[in-house]
Amino acid sequence: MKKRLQHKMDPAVPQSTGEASKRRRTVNDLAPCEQAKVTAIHHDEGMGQRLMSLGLVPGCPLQFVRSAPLGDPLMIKIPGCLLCLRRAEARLVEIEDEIAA
Amino acid sequence: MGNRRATTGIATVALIGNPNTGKSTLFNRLTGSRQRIGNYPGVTVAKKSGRMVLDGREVDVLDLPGAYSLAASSPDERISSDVLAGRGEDVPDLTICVVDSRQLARSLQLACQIADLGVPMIIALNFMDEVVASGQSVNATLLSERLGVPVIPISARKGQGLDGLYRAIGECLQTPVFLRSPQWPECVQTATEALRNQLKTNIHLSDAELRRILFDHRSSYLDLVGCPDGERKQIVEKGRAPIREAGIDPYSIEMVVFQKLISEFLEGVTRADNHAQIQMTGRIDSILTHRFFGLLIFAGLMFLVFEAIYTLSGPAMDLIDTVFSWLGEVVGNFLAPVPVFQSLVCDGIIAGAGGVVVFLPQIFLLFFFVSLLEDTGYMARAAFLMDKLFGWCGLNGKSFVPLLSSYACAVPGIFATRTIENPRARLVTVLVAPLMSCSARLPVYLLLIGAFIEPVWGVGAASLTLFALQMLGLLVALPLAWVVSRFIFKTPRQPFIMEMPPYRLPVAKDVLWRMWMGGKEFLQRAGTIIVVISVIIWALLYFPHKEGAHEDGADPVVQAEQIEQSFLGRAGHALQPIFAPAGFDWKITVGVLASFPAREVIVSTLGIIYRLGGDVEDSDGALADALRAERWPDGPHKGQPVFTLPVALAIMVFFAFCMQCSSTLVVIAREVGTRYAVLTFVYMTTLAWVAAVAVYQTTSLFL
Ligand SMILES: Nc1nc2c(ncn2[C@@H]2O[C@H](COP(=O)(O)OP(=O)(O)O)[C@@H](O)[C@H]2O)c(=O)[nH]1
Ligand SMILES: [Mg+2]
Repeated sequence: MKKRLQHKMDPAVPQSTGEASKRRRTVNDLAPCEQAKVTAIHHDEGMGQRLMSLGLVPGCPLQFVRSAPLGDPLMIKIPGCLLCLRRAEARLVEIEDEIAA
Repeated sequence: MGNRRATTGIATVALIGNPNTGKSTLFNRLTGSRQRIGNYPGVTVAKKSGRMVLDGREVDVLDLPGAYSLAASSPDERISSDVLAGRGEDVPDLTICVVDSRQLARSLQLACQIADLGVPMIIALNFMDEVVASGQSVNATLLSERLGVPVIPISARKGQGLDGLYRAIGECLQTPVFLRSPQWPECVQTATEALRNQLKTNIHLSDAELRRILFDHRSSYLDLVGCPDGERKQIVEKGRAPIREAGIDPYSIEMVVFQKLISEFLEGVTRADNHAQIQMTGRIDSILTHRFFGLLIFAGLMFLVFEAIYTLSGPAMDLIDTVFSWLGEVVGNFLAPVPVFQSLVCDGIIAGAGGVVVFLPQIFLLFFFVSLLEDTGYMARAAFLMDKLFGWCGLNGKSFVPLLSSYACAVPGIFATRTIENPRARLVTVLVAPLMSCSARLPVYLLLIGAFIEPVWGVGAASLTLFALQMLGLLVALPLAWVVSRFIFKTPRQPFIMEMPPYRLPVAKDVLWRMWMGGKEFLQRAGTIIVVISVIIWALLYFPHKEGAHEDGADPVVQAEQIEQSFLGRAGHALQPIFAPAGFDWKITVGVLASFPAREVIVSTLGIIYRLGGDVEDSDGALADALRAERWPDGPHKGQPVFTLPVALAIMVFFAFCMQCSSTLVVIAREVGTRYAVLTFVYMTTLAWVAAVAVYQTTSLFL
């Protein structure tokens, strides 16, 4: 309950407006082997900070390696390391296509 | 704040760094006492300390859990940040920041954060052996000049560069050096002052500590100030206002500032990366984490590992049993003149000690394989593959191996939970691990299935029942874990973010050492208490004593009478009404009570109660016949058989759930705390009773 409230107060979390088509792409939307670049990290409690401390910072190139056989978690590659994260966290990492960058 | 150096003259050096940078390996090098090493992030679950000798003087060394950031979001990272914040007992006089030479940019972020708190620091550039081997280089001298602290290239694994490190430690303990700190933007300084005014506290917080409150989502410094929960958010937000007004996100400002600083530091310093290693790892991963082959290989590996543990430990366990019963006999003959003493030593102490030592082969083997899986880096892949199955109920992929090994025995399984770095997930795994159907449950299943299911329903039904009983624990464990994490611990959704370590060849010495340490710790931590409990149970069965009941070749009838009139037997009589709704008579109740220290004794206890002596085997038809022949002597069912199918099912379900293993309880108490051992005992026993009653009552309607 308290957590939800914090979300709303937190300006860094985009308000869900239901405009699915305009929604920015996240790591969650990538297909295997697809490459992209991080544009923003959203905050959900301390999760955004944690992702950034692992090296997922805006501007960082990344490659979606594969998802686990059961669909979750995901394995991604950023320079210097392979990371494993659940879809719930992958949703916080906003990306743009490498080509567009 | 308590600095031990001031009082004892012994300085404390803390090792800190990202997970998997070789801190524990270095710790072992420095202290000589070997500590757990694993190619698996987060193997150091709590801080460990050891001692080294430097220029003839003793220095304490702390091995802290790996952390990526001081904005600690996971409780194990918090251990590290609390120690560094200097709010614990062991305020380090110096930190050695262990960094992966090929991932300097990321590693240095943590170093910058720590330095900002004003802790003296040395940087240990680890993995230099791999850097050199791949023809790369890092300019340590230049980096050291820029950072303002010693930067020592080392290889913790090969023990290279340690002389330089020792020298630097010695010098820095004399005259502390500090890493160059960043220039904070104007708005941060304003915000710090604003926050200081808002907090109105007597406790002095430094600027750096106030910055942590500003930058972190939920800083532990706020707990220190004792700020009421309701106002907390407002106070901190007021402090953050200047940063937000400057158009900067307070949660990312630190990272932005540090990144700029670090890119200046690293300009032209490093020509080292781990591309080749990652590429190789990626190729192996494409098979080992493959949708289909990955799972297949995983299943195969797990089968091999546990098959190996099972088959290899079997003969060793038999040998231990033989040795201990031989020992019992020899000592028994010697003590024969004093029967109480003889029984105490043989049936209590020696049997109890044998009951501890018999676990050793399994523990050794489990630790051997777990170390192997961790050091190669495969364990992280296993967690990756299995996470989905466990994530929904508050556990994570790392719970898989402990739960699987609990199928052999919960004791090594609970030891194996040490690999779970998230303390909540670890605790919940420990709580449900004893529900896994361990091998000690097999005898009672085999006895009752053989006596009551197979003759009536056939072999197919018998093996189906056995399979169902094996799965029962797991099927209950996961929803239970969900309930516990959701409603009892009220754990918020736990993340599962993990760096996948590169594949590495394990070092035989390290693997063997961990195996040895695992066994040793088990004996030290659990052994004595298990023996004490065995002696207590022995006394409850021995007293009040009936003449001749414990002599060799004692009459089975006398033995049975002894049990009946012992304290435990009387308790069985007294408690029988509690078990009546499950269809148990007093004999079954005594059997159940006598099995609380170790469930596998049920068969021999029943053997004694049914006047066959204690040496019956479950394969032996005699006990099954005796059970089938047993009739109620009085009461509403007078003359009817005691052991009907519903009763047999109820007993088996009871044994599936009940916490009848003192070794497991002791290990739980030792690993996560006595109250959790009590909790496990209470919930499992209640669950067992409820399930047994439910099974008896419902099946009685149909059968
Ligand atoms: N090649 C090489 N491997 C190392 C070195 N130091 C540590 N390792 C390996 O890195 C892995 C992680 O080490 P560990 O000490 O557990 O890291 P921690 O998580 O920081 O405590 C283990 O497989 C070590 O054998 C080193 O200097 N060179
Ligand atoms: Mg470690």
